[in-house]
Amino acid sequence: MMGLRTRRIFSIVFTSAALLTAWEGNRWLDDHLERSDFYTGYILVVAVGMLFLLSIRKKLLVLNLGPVSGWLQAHQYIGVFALGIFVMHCGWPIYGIMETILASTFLFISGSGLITWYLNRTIPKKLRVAGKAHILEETPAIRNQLAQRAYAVAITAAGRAESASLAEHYGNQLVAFFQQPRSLAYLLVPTGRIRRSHLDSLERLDRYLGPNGRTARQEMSQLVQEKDDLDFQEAMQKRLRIWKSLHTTMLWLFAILVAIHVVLAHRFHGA
Amino acid sequence: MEPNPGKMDSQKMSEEMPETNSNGLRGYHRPGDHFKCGLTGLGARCNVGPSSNGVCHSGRCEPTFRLGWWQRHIRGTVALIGICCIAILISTPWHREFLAPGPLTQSHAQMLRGTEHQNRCAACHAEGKFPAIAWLAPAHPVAGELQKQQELCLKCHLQELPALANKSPHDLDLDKLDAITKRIRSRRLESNTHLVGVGLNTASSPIHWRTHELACSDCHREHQGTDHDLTKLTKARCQSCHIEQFQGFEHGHPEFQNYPNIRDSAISFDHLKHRDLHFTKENKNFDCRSCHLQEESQGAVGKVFRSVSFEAACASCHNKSIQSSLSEGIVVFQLPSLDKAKLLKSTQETTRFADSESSLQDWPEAASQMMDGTVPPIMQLLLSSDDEGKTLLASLPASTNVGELDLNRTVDQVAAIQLAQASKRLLKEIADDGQKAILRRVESLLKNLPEHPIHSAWSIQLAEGIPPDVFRGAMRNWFPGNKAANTNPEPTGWNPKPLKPIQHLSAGGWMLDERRMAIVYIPKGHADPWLTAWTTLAAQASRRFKESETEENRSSWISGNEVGMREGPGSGLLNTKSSGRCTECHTAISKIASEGIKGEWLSNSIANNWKSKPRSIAERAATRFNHGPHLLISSIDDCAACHRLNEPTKLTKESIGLALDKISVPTDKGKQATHFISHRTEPEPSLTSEFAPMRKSNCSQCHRQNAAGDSCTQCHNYHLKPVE
Repeated sequence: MMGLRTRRIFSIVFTSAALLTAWEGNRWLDDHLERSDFYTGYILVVAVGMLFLLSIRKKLLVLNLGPVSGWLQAHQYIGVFALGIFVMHCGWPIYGIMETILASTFLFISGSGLITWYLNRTIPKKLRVAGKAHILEETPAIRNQLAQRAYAVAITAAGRAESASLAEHYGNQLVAFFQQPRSLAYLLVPTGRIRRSHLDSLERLDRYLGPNGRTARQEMSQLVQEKDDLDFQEAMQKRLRIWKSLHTTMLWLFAILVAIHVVLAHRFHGA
Repeated sequence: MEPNPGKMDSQKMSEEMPETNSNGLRGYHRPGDHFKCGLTGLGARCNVGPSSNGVCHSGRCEPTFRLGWWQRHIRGTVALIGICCIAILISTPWHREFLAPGPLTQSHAQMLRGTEHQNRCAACHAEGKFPAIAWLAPAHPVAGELQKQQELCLKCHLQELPALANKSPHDLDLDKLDAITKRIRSRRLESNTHLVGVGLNTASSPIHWRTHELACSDCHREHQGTDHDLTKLTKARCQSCHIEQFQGFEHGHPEFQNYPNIRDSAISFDHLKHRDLHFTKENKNFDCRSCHLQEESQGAVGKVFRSVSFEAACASCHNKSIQSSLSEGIVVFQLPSLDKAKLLKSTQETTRFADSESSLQDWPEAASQMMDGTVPPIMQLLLSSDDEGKTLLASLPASTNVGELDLNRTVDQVAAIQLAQASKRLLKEIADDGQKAILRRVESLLKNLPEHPIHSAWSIQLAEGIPPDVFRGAMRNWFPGNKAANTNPEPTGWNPKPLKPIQHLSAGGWMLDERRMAIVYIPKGHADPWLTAWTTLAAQASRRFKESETEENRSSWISGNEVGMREGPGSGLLNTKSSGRCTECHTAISKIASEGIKGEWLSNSIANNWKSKPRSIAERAATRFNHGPHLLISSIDDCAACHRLNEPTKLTKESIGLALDKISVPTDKGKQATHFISHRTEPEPSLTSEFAPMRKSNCSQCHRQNAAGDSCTQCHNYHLKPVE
């Protein structure tokens, strides 16, 4: 089995060679008064068909077709190849309502694909420094778990006079933070501003707390950090999911438009 | 190394998920299911999970849809909405605008402006007449006939370019293309140099035109916007078919060969002679623009003409000389001067001339002193309209000068008497019947020239204006015994002073010249229609005469008489020294008379060759050039910057490959008559231009890729239409 680096080099070289070959072929056919647009068009259709293989592979869990990461990598390079072929096929400028919709859809798919690719590369690194990894679907459960733990710390603190102010602070400032998911603004631009604000205000409680109260405050600060990490992970994973969903959704729409385009091209190319 | 959650295989995660995971959450994990446990959010899901139908086994919760289910359904909904939108758009009357791949070019769009909305596509696409739903049908009636779509293009464009119907490269016949290519290939092998032309690579041609017909859309791609240039063709596309491949016009394009092509003109004009001799003598500036440019025309520099009118370019100098040459007029009819006494004596001595005596008795005394005079060209033509006249002309000397007849010879005596009889008969016929007699003779003459398509119109043009009264006057004066001529006797008691023809008829017309015993026509100057018509007839007759010389059975023109006419009747009109000196400039007329119609530059109708043949609007040569934009460039706004006159060279017979052979022919007296026959020692030289050929460097200074451009179609036409 090839390593990731070897696979990447091989993929780049292979994709570049394929694009160069396709470009030369396109030029040769165009120079020889052949319908080069049909040539690039059908290459594009085949490439788009191959892009669907990743979705199919994900459905075929029972068959041993190699790791999804390999299929994903192939999908990404085929996508780049398809983008190159698309540029050859369409040229510039693009006229016609249908053609513009088709081209815009493809460009959106390519753009969302490239963004997803970028997020796939960058998000794991960010998540690694943001605490333990979670599955997105488990986020509500974990959030609930953290909220229960914070509640327990606050109840315990409320039972002691030296830490009553911590319980009071929890009741006033932290209940909503622990129990609710973050806003849409945080999903778009996740920042540590609220976390820092909560941690600062908790730290400022130390002068009103006794030794046990300070221990409880530290525990509460740890929970604030964990909740913020959970929110960050949720935001990152949701961002990835949204782009991926848009990418796959538009790919289906594109397939329908391509089918119409192919029929029209064949019916009307002879004049 | 920490796991990479973003790239984690969900199946693997599911398999490895313990009953209680690292987060302390317990229960099942089946990310592929549509439903999830309703208690998942609380972290209290069970180990079994909901069924595939979304039913909780324990009844503790109400299962909800998983995120993946939503994603799939959103995807399907979007696709469905997309299909619906497209279906709606296609079913509306605007579906053509929606589906059209782009706007048409301006010219095509203008054509379709008045076309009904639903018929616009059908104007160019066979499919356009069917409803959109029919396009999806695999067994569509038009399926397999898409190539016929180009027939719709040809429907309009064939009118302009009929050769498009060939559907072949350059609209040329494939056999012709093969022949051109073979010729160029052999020339290349011989010279081992670049090709002069760039023949088509018919042997290893591109896929297209060897396997099937060329389609319009192979080169012309529509729906590329209103300003798209449909005629644009890349250099590579042009060269793909041609044998010789080169980088561009500057590098590799073959050197020009005699460009601009020599196109002989019906009118001869010696630029060099005019520049160095006539204009210098008149102290005039020899400026090309004064004749070839019409500055008041539209455009930045005006209209450039290849040939110019007589009035604009020549009249100021040549009118005088033409008038001068016509001052004596054109002798239409003339009585030859005969030695009447000698001829009468011979008729009395010889019983053979018994019935000829009466015809000589009333021969005018003024034309009876000595043997003198020639048969005028127009009279030759009129006489040659019947066999008798032809025989007579054949029996006369080549110059038709009766002075050359030897009255000691019986045959010449016969010729002289026959000439007298024929002259009198012709005069009497016209005097009696007027223009009808002329028409009769002209029609009879034109029967021998079947190739001329407009006989009746031409014969009327030849006869019109000929005044029968002048002929009647001549008949009355010269042969007073004729009854028809005496119907209008001249009043007596007035004896005017004889005038010279030009004094008599300074504005042109007909006169009776008693001094010369002739009927004279004074033309109205340059391009006199009557003289033009008779000169054309003379050329036609001479051509016919020359052709008959080559026939196995020679016609009666010259049968059996080695001293008869050699140039055909009326050839005197074609002489450069004749009255009017027409053929001095109108060389095509005399050239046709001697050589026939040879060369594409001549019109098939002789009458059309009086004028320089204009370049047909429909003609599309391989190369084109537009003077307009070039004359705006200051460095080449002088015509001589490109069109340089060749320096004069002295022409000799040897230099043009001519030699004279002396031959001896026995006469009927047993003597030898000497004749000279010219023949070529070298192959006929190709036409040479008085201008130095242009070089490629003249153009490549500007026509480069990053300057004025060097695409093939800038100077070359793809669709060719040679001159008919």
